[in-house]
Amino acid sequence: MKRRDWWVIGSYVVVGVFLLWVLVPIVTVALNSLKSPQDIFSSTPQLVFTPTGDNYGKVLGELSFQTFLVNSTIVALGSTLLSIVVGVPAAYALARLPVRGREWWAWLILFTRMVPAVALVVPMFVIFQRLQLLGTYTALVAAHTTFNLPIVIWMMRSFFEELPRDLEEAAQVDGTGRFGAFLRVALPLTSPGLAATGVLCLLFSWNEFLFALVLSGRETQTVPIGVASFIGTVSVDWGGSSAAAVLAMIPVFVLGLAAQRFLVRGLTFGAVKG
Amino acid sequence: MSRRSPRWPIALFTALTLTACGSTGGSSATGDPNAAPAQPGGPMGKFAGAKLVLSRWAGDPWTSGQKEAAAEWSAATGGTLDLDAVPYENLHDKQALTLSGAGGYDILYVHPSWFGEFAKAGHLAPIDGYLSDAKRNPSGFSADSYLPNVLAQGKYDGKQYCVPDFVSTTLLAYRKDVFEAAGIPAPKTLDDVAAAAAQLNGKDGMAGIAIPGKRAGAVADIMGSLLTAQDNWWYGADQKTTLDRAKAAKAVDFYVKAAKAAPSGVLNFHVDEAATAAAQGKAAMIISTTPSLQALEDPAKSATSGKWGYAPMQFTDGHPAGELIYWNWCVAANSPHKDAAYSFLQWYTSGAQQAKVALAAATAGATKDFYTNADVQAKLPFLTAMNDALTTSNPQPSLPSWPKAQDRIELAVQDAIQGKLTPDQAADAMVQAVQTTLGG
Repeated sequence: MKRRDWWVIGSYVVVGVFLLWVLVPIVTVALNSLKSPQDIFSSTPQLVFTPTGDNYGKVLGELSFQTFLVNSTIVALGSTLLSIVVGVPAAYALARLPVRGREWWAWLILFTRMVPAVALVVPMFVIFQRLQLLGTYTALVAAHTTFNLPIVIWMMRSFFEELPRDLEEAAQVDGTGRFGAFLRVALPLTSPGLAATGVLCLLFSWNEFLFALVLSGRETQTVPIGVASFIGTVSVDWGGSSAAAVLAMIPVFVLGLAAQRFLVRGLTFGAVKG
Repeated sequence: MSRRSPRWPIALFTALTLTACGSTGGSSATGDPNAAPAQPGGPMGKFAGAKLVLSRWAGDPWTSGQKEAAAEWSAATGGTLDLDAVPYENLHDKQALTLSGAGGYDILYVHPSWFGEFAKAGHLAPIDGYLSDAKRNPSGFSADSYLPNVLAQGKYDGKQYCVPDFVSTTLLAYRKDVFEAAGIPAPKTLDDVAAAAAQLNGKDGMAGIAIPGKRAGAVADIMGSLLTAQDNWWYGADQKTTLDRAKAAKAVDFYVKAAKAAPSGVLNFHVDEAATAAAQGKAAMIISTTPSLQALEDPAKSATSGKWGYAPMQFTDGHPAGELIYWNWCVAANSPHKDAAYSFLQWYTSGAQQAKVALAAATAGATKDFYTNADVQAKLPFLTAMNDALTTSNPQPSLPSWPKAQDRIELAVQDAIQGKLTPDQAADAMVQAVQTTLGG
């Protein structure tokens, strides 16, 4: 066998092990969501069983899990949009404009992402309490924006820096202003990066637990709180939590598939500077 | 029992950052808190327009049952009662933050280990006046309706703040069929349990005994029962430690012997993992908290239902004992709906309502009439053993500083199970932990 063939076989083995490592827990959760408690708790794992929709019925009926999904959608979309609207111009400014001490500004912004969430949660609780915003979507969107904004600024700054300046300068020679060059030239050219950044922001917000726990009210609780709610003091509702986890994964999975083309291109877009 | 994770530093931040809001007092603006129930056995009072929020943990069968009770109370009184249910591991921090801030809760389900903290901080409203007011209670109902030793746990600085429910303890359950087949008599003492566990361990792929080993509260509960069975306790009325080193070592020694005959991974077993293992026929015995033991008899989850016998924990035959585990129902100090909140709590903790909860979820109430309910006695096969155990009991500690001691106690047990400490060394560590925590 040629040396290249060994490399191919080795690559398949590595990818196969990685896929098993990643997919087995997900498949287990998906199967458990369709099992009765007896099948879940049986001493030997049941691969052949009679599927039941009881867990989904309970999660969507008695526990109204769709409310958590709607809340997460509102918060994740709101936070992502706000982060992009504020962060993209800021990223462009740090990449292109003659901002004094811009590297310091950039590091300062990144520093806000380095502060542990637990250190921010109580001050934020106090702020939103005084603003009478506790338990509202606004509080959650604002909180999630604080950790999404640095991601947007740093990722988009790298994408803007990779663009040849000549393109924007040509647009300016043709009569558009700096803002026009940003809006009509730089932004469209970095759209794959923008999509990748948006997807990352959505994922961070969708999965965030701590701020959602402390700042949300009973009407605005998000998916991670809903999934964790199946863990009681003396029992864990494995079937219910599995069904909830599957429901929580579906929107993210669909989003990932839809944005796959952008993600692959976007995540490598700013990686190499010419 | 409790499932506890290491606390985030939120409690510390809360203490440093926030100041507790004072009581705003007040009561329901509309309705008549003294109105008699529309139907016999219904809740007292009319509270049209009052909107209450109840804070409790999510999950377990009790949450959905309580939603039904809240709906029933709302229909009978005209008020509305919403449940804010968050994961148990985060309940303390959510309650502490909310109470320290603008409030928002009217009724709180408070674990004994943080009752003292909330009462000391002024977050809870005294309810002595409600309990003694004949107009706020059904005929014949008063503080005397509760088990006195359990009700007393909701007192702080001489004032009654809470009413109890969710009474439980730790018990031994054993497979009658397995013991019979092996020719071993039903275990009476903990020495019998240790011997039987060693004898049955590994037989037919079954562990000798399942027991919680995870630092999540239940280990301390079982240690509490093992001390109580030796007429010893962590501390006395003066809150100075009374822990006897030799008795603590004896308790740890039993724990280590049991853990050696437990399913692998015992250090990661909380009550539910232990109960699941036993229910699936992977252990011949189990020591756990009574609410978790319901899993043994639930045909939907258990492959061994109907095969279990129950016994109190005792070192000496004829001297059963157990730690008294319970939860507190409290009214928030800054609730504007205290009348309505008491109406719900009185009704929900009454014997008739608690019987409904017991039939659905195998917990026990804290009123005297609960224990004479024939339906309940039939539903809870361990009720007799539980009653026996609680004849000699010590209540789960409710000192504000206790969670720290509890964590170190559980760590000492884990270290002994792993062989890092001898039972004597673990006992020394416990004595030191309790002394340090209590300042004794």
